[in-house]
Amino acid sequence: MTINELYENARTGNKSSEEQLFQTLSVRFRALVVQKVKDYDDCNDIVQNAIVAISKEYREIEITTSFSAWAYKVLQNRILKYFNSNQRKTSNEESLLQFYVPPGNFKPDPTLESRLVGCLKKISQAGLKYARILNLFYQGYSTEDVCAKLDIVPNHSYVILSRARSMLRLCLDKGEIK
Amino acid sequence: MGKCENRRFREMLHRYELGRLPVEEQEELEQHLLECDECFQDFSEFQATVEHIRFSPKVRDAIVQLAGQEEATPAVPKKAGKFRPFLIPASLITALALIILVLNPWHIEFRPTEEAFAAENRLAVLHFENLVDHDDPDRLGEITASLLITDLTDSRYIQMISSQRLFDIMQRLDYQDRASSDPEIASRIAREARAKWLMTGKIVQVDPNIVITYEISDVQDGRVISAKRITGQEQETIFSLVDRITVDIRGSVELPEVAQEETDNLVADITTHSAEAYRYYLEGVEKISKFYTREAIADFNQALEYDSTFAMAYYYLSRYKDTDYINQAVAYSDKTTRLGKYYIEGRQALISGDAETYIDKMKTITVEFPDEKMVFYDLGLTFYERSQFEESKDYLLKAIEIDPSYKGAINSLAYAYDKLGDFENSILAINQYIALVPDEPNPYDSRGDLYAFNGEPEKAIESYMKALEIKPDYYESMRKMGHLFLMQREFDRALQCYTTMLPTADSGYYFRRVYPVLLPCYQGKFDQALSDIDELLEEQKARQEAAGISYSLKIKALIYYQQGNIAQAIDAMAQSVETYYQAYPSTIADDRYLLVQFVAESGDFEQAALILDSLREHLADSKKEVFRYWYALGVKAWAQGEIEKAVDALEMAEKLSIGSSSRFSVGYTLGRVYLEMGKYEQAVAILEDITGDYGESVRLCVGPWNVKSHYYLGLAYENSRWYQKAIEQFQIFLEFWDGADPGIEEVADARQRLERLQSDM
Repeated sequence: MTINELYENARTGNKSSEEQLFQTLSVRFRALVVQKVKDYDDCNDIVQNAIVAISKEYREIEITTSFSAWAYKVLQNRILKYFNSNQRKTSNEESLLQFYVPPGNFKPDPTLESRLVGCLKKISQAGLKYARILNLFYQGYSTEDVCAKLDIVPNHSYVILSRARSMLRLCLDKGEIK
Repeated sequence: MGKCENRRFREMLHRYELGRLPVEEQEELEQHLLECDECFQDFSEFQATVEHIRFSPKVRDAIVQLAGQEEATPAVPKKAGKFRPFLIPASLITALALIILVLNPWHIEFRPTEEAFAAENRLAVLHFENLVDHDDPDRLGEITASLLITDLTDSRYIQMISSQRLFDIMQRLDYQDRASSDPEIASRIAREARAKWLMTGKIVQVDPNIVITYEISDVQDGRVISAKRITGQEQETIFSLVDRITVDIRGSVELPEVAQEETDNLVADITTHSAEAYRYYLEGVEKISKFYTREAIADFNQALEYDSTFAMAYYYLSRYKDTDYINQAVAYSDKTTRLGKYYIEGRQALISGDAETYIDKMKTITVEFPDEKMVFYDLGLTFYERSQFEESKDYLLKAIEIDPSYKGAINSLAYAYDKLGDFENSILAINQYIALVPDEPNPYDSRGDLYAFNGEPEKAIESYMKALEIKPDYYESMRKMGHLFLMQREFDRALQCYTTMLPTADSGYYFRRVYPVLLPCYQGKFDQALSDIDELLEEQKARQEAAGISYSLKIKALIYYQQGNIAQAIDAMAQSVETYYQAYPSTIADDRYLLVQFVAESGDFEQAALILDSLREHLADSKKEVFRYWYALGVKAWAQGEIEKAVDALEMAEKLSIGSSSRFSVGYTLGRVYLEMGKYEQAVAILEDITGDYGESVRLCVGPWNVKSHYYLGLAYENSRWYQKAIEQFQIFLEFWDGADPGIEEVADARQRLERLQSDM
């Protein structure tokens, strides 16, 4: 069932649908928040706040769009509020992703860790810049900084990043990079 | 990849993961990821990997070894840690929320508090100054302010002062050009609007990205609450920037904690995603306020060219072009504010004949948006349409109380006073309107109407001419002036007016094409009129102009009726009704009442009774149009020789038709019945009344009746021994039909009577 269908069922009092709805929302919200907020714990905080707000209102509020659109707006507001209250720039403004925090309560998956390390090694053998760009990008460096460090132009950086990601995905999937 | 079936989203996903998606597409995709299991699965597969690169110490150590310490170092030093022990299970959150809901019924106990906040927390947003181009040809400053107001309109905790209200104040204080650049003036406007907070801003850069600065201040003490500079991304739209600014507004002004829980829609989701569409929409709204309806319609159409889902553009078209547009407005009503939705739902109810629901919706707006002058105005118009002129006047006065310079309301107030028989106040109101905007054509057009309604066609023409001096293509005045010339027997000047209106080939062209055809009809040259109408009908049918076809067929039916070709009259009138009904199924005001008359006079009372029954059912819920049923009942009884019953029904119809554009037909027929009954005094009264009203009405298309009303008034005067007046009326009648087709009985009779009366005088 889609979240809009789960919402319809939950509104009519179906507890199972309600639980499933909020579980699904939590997972999806988190995946989106991680794209913008680099603090592992803050991600969870934002997701929690959004979920609380939705659970308070979803039965009573007159949703003029779809439930998913409304829920997305709630999440967006929480993210914007977070950036606003921390006086930080959103990922859409210049100098995006300018902060970094330690993993906090992050619990690694040992299997994935090992595979990832192995793949990064393979990728760096194919070209160190591929491994470097993956690292820089996901650590939150801006495109400008990445370009400066790798001595490349922005368009080139996207090409390299795109290839690097493809290699990483292929490696994680098949164990090879070509 | 590959599970996500939507190619567009699949491609977007790739760019999203690389951080290369523009903001709007990013938002679209993120919302889609919430909805679509397949796309989310694709997306989430890589998320664990990303998190491990970012957060796993082991992976980071490996990177250090591979690339050196520098690149393992995060971009910015770590921030102070926070303790977040666990993620609350969703089910527990839900349970907590349910308890809160039970203990605090939102809509009952908290509502007065919300309203109290709304009344107090008034924010005025002035047009932003465009420093890049002070002329602001793209109206970016206005668009920014308008979007900010719209985005916050639905808040129960901030009461936004509408753009229109601020514009009205600025215009009244004559500050419109300096408001946003002069802090003192801005503050004065905010105080006038009873605002607690004032927001002003500047657009400092447009290309390659938009840069805006703004300031929110406390109106009372002038304290600056927030002053920001916001820089858009390349290709980031004004809509997205506005969303970011409204978040800051909510965070900056003092609001209760609960206000932060309010849903804040993307402004593009409740307006349009197209800046061009929004610009045309604002221009349309502005033109409506000046009564430049035709131009406004063009703007709304343009807006829809850019965004075919723009609900409020459809709403305005449903008001000013064709009621059918309400269907699209309803279909896209999710894309508008709560206020917009009320308007759309209300209008939908009104169009479907459910005036009570409409009034309820409008009254809801008066409570929730007490500054919304348009709703008081609309209620005033609604009660006017329902011929409840006292209520109409009261609502219009309330609208004027909110905005003493509310042109539309003052204009309508003049009409309401006129309908209440208060000609003095009516002219006073219209003169106020003229004083307010002496350079606009509509006040003069309205004054022309009022003179026309009150039997002063010459003064009316003078006023219409003044309107046309100001705006030569103001076809409202041109049309009405043409009609007045027609009724004044100045056929050449009437034709000149009608042909002047024709070059504009807009959607009303084939409707306006009917007017020149009226000329032979008013001259009694019915064979020529029928030939012209047939030619016109060919054009109208080719263009599928239903309203025009129906109108032409109605004129044709009335000509056949005049000629005594009753079968053809029935056929043409039935086609007219059917054509109109098929094109506009929700129409209430159809012409079946005339069809009943023709059918009954043909002697087919059974068929007449069937149509009458259908009419009764059709009009059961319409207070405004129910006179049509009484009319039909009366003419059927008349045809059956039941004259007492006929006069009772027609008197009822006449009483119920006051304010209706079809009142002429009712009065004309009632006058004839009075004459037949020998009730000459009553005949004079009703026929004087209808012939003295030169206001534009259905009177125009019932050409033969229009002309013959002078003949019957002449008869009524003659029988009342008012011979001089009788002579005048017979002369008018013959001026119309002196050169008419031969064999018209009334013409011969009028000539004889006139000769006799003149020789006796």
